[in-house]
Amino acid sequence: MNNEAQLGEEFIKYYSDLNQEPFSVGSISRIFGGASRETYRLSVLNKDLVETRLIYRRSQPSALIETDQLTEYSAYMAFQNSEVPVPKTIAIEESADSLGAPFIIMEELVGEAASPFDQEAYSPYEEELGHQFWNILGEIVIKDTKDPNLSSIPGREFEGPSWKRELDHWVEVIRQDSFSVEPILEAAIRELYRNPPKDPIKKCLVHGDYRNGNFLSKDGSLVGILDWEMAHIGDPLEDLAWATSPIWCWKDHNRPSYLIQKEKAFKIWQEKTQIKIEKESLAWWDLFACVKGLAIWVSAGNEFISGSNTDPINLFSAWIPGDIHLEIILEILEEKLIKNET
Amino acid sequence: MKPDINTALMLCAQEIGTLFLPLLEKNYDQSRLGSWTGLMLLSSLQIDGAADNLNKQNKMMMEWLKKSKKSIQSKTLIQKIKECESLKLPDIKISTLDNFNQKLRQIFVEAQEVLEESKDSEHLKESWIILREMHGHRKVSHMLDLLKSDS
Repeated sequence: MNNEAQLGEEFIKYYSDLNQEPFSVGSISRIFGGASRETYRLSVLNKDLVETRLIYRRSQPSALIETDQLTEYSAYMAFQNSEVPVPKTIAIEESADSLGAPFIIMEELVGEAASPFDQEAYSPYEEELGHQFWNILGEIVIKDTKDPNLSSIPGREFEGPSWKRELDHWVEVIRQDSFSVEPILEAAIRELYRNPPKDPIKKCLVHGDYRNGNFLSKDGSLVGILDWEMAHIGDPLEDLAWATSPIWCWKDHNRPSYLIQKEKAFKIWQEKTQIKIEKESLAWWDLFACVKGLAIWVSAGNEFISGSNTDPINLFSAWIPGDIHLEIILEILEEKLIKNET
Repeated sequence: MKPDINTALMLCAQEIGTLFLPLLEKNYDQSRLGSWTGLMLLSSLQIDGAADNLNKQNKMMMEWLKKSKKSIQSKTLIQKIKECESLKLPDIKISTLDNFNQKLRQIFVEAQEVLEESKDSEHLKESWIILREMHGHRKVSHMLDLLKSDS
């Protein structure tokens, strides 16, 4: 029996016990991409051969971004049957006792995920999807952070400045995982600590990786916001800066996530959140997005070099997105240098 | 060594991608091998210039550190620069050049920080020209289309 078939057998035993009725595996296949979890698509059949399609996400022994699965599951729970489309949650196991690793189970949403580096991924639905994408981000900002489902989301009890909590966290990841010295990255870190942003009007739920590639769409409809494992409570501008970072629209910088124009996106977001974008603070979060990105890519490189996870996605992440984020930092800091001179 | 390593890698990547990849049944296996193929192709394009790039970077950083030394007060930092100046590399293996490169980068970071504090815009401007050039050596983003990733 191969690894997938064995996983399927173990899974179906758990799933049948959970539902107190017998199920069988129709099919199981691993989904490529996203090194933080092993993700499987499963078709399960009940005794009447009625099919249910599931997503089964297992923690990797080593993960690109070491996160708690409870964070992701809590965010999905908080948005069940809401304006923010998410998969229907089924189960979470935080221990490895049941199936050898912590996992979550959700119903599969019918839709397509796209590569964040594919300029034409959403054609011809950029306009429709763009409106939905930015409105949904607004919905996340206005979500009541006191929702009991969000009680275990990181940062909820933190009373200090969000920028410092986030920056300290990602700099720590860089310090732990770096195998080489990057003067461009170091300059960005110094700049961020020297010139912090203003305090936000309010703290809100932050998705943590809101961008193209992390949502599902079907024709012109955005059917699911995924990958909430870095969710936390923080500054509303954090997701906005991350989602508009040029890395996610590398071939068309003014069309973030290859959807609609940046100005239009800002307008939708401001109308939904009733928060006026403070330009200097957003610029801080733009630079922070590069540092956070590099922390993730450095961490991926570490996994690869140390041999703990030699998935090519880790090599790809360290080389390509790492290169792009360094280039964005160069542009930002060179511009700042020129501005300071004049 | 003939044929060159980069040529061998490139042909290997092409053969894996065209001959073996289509034989795989599972979508996950195909995507994973496809990524390896793209990354191998990318490596084959980078390998030829790797030693030369490191050598150029080391020279640029060393020259800048020597020049900036006069604006630096820290005796420890000046000592570190002097040690690098007098260092003779035993060979020009990529690993030797890279070790020295990492050492220089660390001193470069420290020097930049000192010059930022003293607002020495002249030397800082020069440092950013060097960093721009060094970044050009590792730049691979223009080869994005070579790699199809669903990350």
